[in-house]
Amino acid sequence: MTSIKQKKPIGFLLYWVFALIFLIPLNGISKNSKDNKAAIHRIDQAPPKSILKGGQPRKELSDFAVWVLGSENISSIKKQLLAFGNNFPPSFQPSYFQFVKKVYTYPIIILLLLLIGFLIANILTVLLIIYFGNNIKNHKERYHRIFLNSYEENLQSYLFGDIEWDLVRLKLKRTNKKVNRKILTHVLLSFKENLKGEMDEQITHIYLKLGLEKDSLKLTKSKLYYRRIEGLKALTNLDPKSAKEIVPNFLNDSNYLVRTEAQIAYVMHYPESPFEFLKTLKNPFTPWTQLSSFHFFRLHQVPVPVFETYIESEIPTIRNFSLRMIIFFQQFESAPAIFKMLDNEVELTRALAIRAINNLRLYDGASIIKDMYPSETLNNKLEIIKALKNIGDEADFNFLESIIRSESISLKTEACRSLHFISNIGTERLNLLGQGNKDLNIGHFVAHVTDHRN
Amino acid sequence: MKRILVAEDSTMMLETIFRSLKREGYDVIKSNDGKECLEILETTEPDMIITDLYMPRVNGHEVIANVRDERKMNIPILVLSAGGVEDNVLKAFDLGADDFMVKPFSLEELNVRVRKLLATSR
Repeated sequence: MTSIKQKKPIGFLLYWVFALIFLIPLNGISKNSKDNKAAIHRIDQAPPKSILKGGQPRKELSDFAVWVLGSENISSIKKQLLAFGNNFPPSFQPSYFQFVKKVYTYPIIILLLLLIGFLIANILTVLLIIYFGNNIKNHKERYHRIFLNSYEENLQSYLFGDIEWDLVRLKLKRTNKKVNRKILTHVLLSFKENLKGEMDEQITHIYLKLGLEKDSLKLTKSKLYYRRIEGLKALTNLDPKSAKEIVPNFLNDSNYLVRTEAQIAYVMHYPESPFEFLKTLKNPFTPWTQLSSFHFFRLHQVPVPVFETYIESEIPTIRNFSLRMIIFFQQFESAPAIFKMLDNEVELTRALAIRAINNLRLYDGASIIKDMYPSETLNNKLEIIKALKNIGDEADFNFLESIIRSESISLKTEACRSLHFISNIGTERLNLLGQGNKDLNIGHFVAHVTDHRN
Repeated sequence: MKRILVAEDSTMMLETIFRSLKREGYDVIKSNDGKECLEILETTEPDMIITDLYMPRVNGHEVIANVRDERKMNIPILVLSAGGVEDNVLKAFDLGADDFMVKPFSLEELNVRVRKLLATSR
């Protein structure tokens, strides 16, 4: 425990502040200055009231205060406070001096009162900040709404040929202000999101005529990632020419959201090779980017590239995405590349390769995946057994039977399913197996796999 | 002059569709959401309805259901929507929509579809 003398004054400062701020007149103010002086003298000389039983004199200050402040600091503070009181009007001074004395006699209670006062002041301050903050926010929203409506109306009139550009330019007020230019960009983006066709070129034309692409380019150079995204989004939608040049610079940005935006923009602006950026990617190809770029790709009917090109990437997420796309677009010509992926060190890549063999009905792969089976994980074993349902034949019956005899429940179930659905001969084989081995409970498995709910 | 009721919660889109159809010579009534659209139908009988799907208070599906099932109106209904989620498209057709357009769309296409729907409804 630190000694009282060493105790440094965070408590000292708090005490000083509370004592100065919270000046409670504890006694009535005397109007007579002579009475004041007499009062001060009496207060100073009066012995402290006893609070201990047996009439023993009470210590002037509690141990707590001594512990918080340090004994040397305490007497110096008291002297300074009393000296400070000389600055007050004479009528107020007795109250002040008495207050200081009381503070030193009942420090905890006074401290608590001061604390309450401080907290109330805090709450009031916070409420004031909220009130003014709200006012400012409402003002900004109103400002935004007014100019948004004005810009929308004027630009629509121009787009529909009701007014000429010169008149529109005059009507678009305060375009020199940054916030207004932001609103203009927002309006144009809104048009772009909802309309296409002949409006496309006109919207880009307006964007360039107003010089808004400079703002967007400036935003793309910001250190803040959300500003870079804002700039990129504006350029991508409103100035495709500029966007095409700068999007590749952001494909490997330090922030993953900027990368996502750039990668989706790349798919939009390079329809001849929408996924070529996968070759230069240094970071994982995130699931969200995969979904968004795929969705965009499908929505805008971008020509399908050969995904085999990206299957040998060092980045697992790119490999896996390529395999999924090969399955989705049924790219049979990628069979050799798929077989190569069966040796991959990543479990999910191997699983997707097995799934590709299954989905694309690559019958040549049946023997390869059977050879893989003993060394595979549980999930991949399941994939192999499922694949045999579609690409297996009578040569695989023994293999499936061995699984039914010895493996776990999930593997047995899938093996039963595969054996049952390969052919009628498979079903008979299953029945024979069940008759010969009652303990295998083949009937239960068959009932399960033939239930249409499964 | 054919009368078209347009229900769209985006004021920008509503105004754009309004101007485009007005330019084509139609009498256009605007409504800001599905509820307003149904209120207008109490007093007015349009020749066609163009409605967005996702609107506050009353959405596009409810408007279609109301027009077909409760009011038994046989007028063409064209549905507009962002995204074009398959289930929503199918539901709109099930409820009685005649055509569906996904945003972003071109105004030329909108005009052509409106013209076609009005022609076939005669």
